[in-house]
Amino acid sequence: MIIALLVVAVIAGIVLYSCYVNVIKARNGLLEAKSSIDVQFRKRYDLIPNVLTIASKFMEHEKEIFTQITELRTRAMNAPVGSNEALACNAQLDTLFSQFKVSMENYPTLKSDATMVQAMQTYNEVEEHIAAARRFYNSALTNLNNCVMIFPSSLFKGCVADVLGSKYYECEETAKTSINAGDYLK
Amino acid sequence: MKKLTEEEFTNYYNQNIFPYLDEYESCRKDLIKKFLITASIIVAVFIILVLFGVINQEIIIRAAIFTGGVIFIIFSFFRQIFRNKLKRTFYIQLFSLLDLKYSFESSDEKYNVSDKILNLCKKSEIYSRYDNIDVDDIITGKYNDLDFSVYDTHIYYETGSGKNRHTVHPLRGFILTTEIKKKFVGETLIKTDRFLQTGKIGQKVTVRLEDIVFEKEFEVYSDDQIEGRYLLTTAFMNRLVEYKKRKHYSIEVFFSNNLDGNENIFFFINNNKDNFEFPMLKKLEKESFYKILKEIYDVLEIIDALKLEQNIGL
Repeated sequence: MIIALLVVAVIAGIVLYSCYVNVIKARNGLLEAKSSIDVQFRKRYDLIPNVLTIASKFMEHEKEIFTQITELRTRAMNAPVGSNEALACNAQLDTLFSQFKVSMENYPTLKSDATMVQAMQTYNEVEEHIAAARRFYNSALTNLNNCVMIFPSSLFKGCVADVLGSKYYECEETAKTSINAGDYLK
Repeated sequence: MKKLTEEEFTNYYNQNIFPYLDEYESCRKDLIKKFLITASIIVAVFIILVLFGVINQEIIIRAAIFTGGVIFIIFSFFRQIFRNKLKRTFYIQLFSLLDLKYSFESSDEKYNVSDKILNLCKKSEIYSRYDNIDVDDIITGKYNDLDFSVYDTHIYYETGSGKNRHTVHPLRGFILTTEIKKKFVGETLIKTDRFLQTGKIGQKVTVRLEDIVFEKEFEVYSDDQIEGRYLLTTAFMNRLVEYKKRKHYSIEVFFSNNLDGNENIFFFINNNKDNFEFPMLKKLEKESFYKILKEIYDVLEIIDALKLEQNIGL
């Protein structure tokens, strides 16, 4: 009888320990995913001055958007890593940069400039990497949520309290609104 | 690469192939005739030996299997000589018409290519086991502004012993390698989803993707979670699933920038056939040659289906 109880206790111990390991792994995965977004943001911050320097030679009437982008970049860089402020700044940077790309359409010489083409290609690659990093984060968060919601790993919810309540990346409200093609074809 | 219409091909066939075909057709018929005569004689000899009680039934079964094997090996040898002759005469010309370069086994190049494929299998860790790699036809060229190579490949190994001995074919189809316009680092592997797959292959770990349909069909491993997702955008996943559904091929994909410093994509497509071959038992005619062209168009369709020539951030 005692042996049977011991066996059950050992098995239960192993199961609980592996659940604990899974929860901790999921938490670390989420932190890794979060920091990888920051790495991609850093690449974007490094690239923005180059793009703006090239563009400023051609786009003399767009000083306001340049200033806004530069200010946002500085704010985002100074904000604590992974903080809501940093995320908000980057979301605004997305929007502003989209506007910047649209205004570039009015400058055909700039659009066809070899250095600008290269810079924009690199920028697009960085954007795609940011999107990939966000998908990685969402996937890691789903994994963590599954771990802390399903019994018996939910018993270790308290061990990952620091990351509980993390939110999924969702696109900006502005991006959700439907586009009226007519506005662009006037 | 140029694409020929059936009419253009017919003109080419009438001028460059048809006038020289008689010699090969009679050679093919001769080979089959010799094979049938030899087989008939041997079968007749065995029947006589059994009828007259010279050998008993137990020995005859073994002897028949042995003799059948020998005949098959001899026939395969002559068939190969015939096929090589045909390929040498017609294929090189036919593919050069499409601005493609064609080569096949028999040269030293074959050994280099087999080594290259072996290296690719090792590097990608795509198959857990492979003992033999046969590369038959090799076609290289440019399609949609992308350099590509197609290797008609057979990868196999033998398993079990005695009566349970059998051959397993992880790949019987072709390997297509082409450039990719996206810049990426590291290695990413897309494998067909199989029951009980490991969460890790070498240094590559599983990448869980959000496309449920794709996840049912494939397993993705990458040495970098972000690079894996950067390559496998939702549009790419969708296109790959659509292609697989349309073609019913087993397909595996490997992305690498480590093999020759360039960004390359490798498709391992298992269509369970020996591609770019003539059926020996059918008459040599226009359709036999047009089939070869259709096969190369079919191989390159994947470049169109996945829009590999584009770099539009999808």
